[in-house]
Amino acid sequence: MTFTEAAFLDRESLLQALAECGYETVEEGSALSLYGYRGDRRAETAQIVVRRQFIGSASNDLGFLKTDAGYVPVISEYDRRYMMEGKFLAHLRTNYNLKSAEKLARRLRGTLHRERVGSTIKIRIKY
Amino acid sequence: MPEIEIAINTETGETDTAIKGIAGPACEKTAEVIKQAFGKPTRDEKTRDYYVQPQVRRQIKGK
Repeated sequence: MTFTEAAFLDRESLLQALAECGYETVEEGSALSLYGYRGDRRAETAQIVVRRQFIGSASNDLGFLKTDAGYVPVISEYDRRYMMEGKFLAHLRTNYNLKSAEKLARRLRGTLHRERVGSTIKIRIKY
Repeated sequence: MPEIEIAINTETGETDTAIKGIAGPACEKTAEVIKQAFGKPTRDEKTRDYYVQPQVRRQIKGK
């Protein structure tokens, strides 16, 4: 099975992945407003928000909107291109999937072995 | 021993998973657990192992 969707199903794993990316301070609420880099209120709302002061001086708020498919990122085109040199979502997804693999191993009461081969992280869960 | 292989492409975040060591449709249960962990797959293919009939050992006891 291949997983490429942008939605993050598990809230706890998402928060842990954000922390791994350096974004430990998050706000949670039912419909939090998002603000742009000039302090302008945006039309979008989200349930999980990283405020722009924790991202960068020219950045906008980063949000995650809860949907049936999971938490979907609400990220401006600017931030998509410049956060972590354009690789923020890839880093976030990588960290999220690592957390998901750890959770899966615990759920199956299995052992997890991990190794890095170039730009690929290979994991084996034996159970 | 059943095994799940996971490969995470750190450049894109794309993740591939494969279930090994389970013959037949019994792997569907593990596939569901994987989907609960990772979300909805964009591609889901059945491997050759899926179509293998699991061997059933019979033990016949005499009276």
